Amino acid sequence: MRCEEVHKRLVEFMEGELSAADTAEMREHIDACDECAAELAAFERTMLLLEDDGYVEPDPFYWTRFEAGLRAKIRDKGRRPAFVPGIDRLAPRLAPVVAAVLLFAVGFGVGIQPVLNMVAGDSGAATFAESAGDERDPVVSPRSKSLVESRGFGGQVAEYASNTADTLRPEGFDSAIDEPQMILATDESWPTGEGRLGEGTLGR
Amino acid sequence: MSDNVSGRSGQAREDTVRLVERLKAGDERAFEELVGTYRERLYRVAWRILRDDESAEDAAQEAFIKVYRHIARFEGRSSLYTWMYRITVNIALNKLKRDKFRQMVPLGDMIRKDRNPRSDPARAAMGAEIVDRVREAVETLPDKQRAVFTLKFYEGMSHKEIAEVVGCSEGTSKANYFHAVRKLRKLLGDLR
Repeated sequence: MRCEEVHKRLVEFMEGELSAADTAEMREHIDACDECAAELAAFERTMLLLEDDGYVEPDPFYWTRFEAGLRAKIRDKGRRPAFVPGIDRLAPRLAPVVAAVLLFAVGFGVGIQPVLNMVAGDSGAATFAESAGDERDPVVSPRSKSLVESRGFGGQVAEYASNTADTLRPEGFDSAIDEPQMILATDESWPTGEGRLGEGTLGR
Repeated sequence: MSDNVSGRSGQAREDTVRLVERLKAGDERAFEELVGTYRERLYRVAWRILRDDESAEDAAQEAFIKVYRHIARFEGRSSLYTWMYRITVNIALNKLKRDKFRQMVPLGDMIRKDRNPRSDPARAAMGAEIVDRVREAVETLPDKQRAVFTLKFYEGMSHKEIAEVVGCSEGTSKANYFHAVRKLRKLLGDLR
């Protein structure tokens, strides 16, 4: 047996994984070869070093804390509402839904403001046109106006708008608020890629 | 692995079967017994894969919670301890992957290591340099080699048992172990 082969099989030799014949042959070579004997000694020294890997048996008091912590975790997990099992695993999937809801809310907030302003009435419109030095007549998109009216915001909207200095905007701004209103008018904007809440993923 | 540890003796096997039956029946005392019997072993194997007290504690506790919740699925095709080791090793390896990702933020990693109160005095007494070199060397092993090496070298499991725990063939377990030992020999060869 050559030194190279002995080196390759030293771990198996140390672990007793070789056949009796191979073991005897290895032993014979190592006894006669200083280099291979030194390599075996190096392996054995490495294994001894590995035994001291820094692990320390915890003291008995530690296990009292360990078990208390375990009980608390079981209790906490047991408190999780039954309709959201595995919420921790679902959190990454829910993130886009939450983001969409937030965007929707922000869009609604930004979008509704000018619409509110537009239905504020003549006094507000006059104020804006005069203060801005704009000689054009204030313009309200008929589509936006009808949408707001049809949703029954009525008097509250008018009251809010009348208290707001920025009551009307020129036509260029008006088109920008149409898209959020379209979202408001229908329910189709809800993301359906992951399924709606309560259906499929969360229902399991 | 010894009968005492693996539960291979007839009496131990019967005790384990009864314990599993009681667990399936929802006997809380049985769960306490299970925790009392296995807590050190699960914590130790988790620590040796994760090399961190807090993470090992989390992993061992999480393993017990999984056993508690899924004991009904345990059909006795493997031994209870093999099943529990498998759960623990999987949790620890998953944590290891997450930790490797977190270590991309060096400050977080430093904070985590500084809060390691229990092992520091022992490390000082043992010779911190050797312990650190050993830890660093073991941490360079690929995850599966690290798990196999831990189970074989520190837990004294057979390759057949390791194959069940890690979910590979006996030959793969041996190959992983031999590779790990050769790599560690290279990395630690200069230490005296």
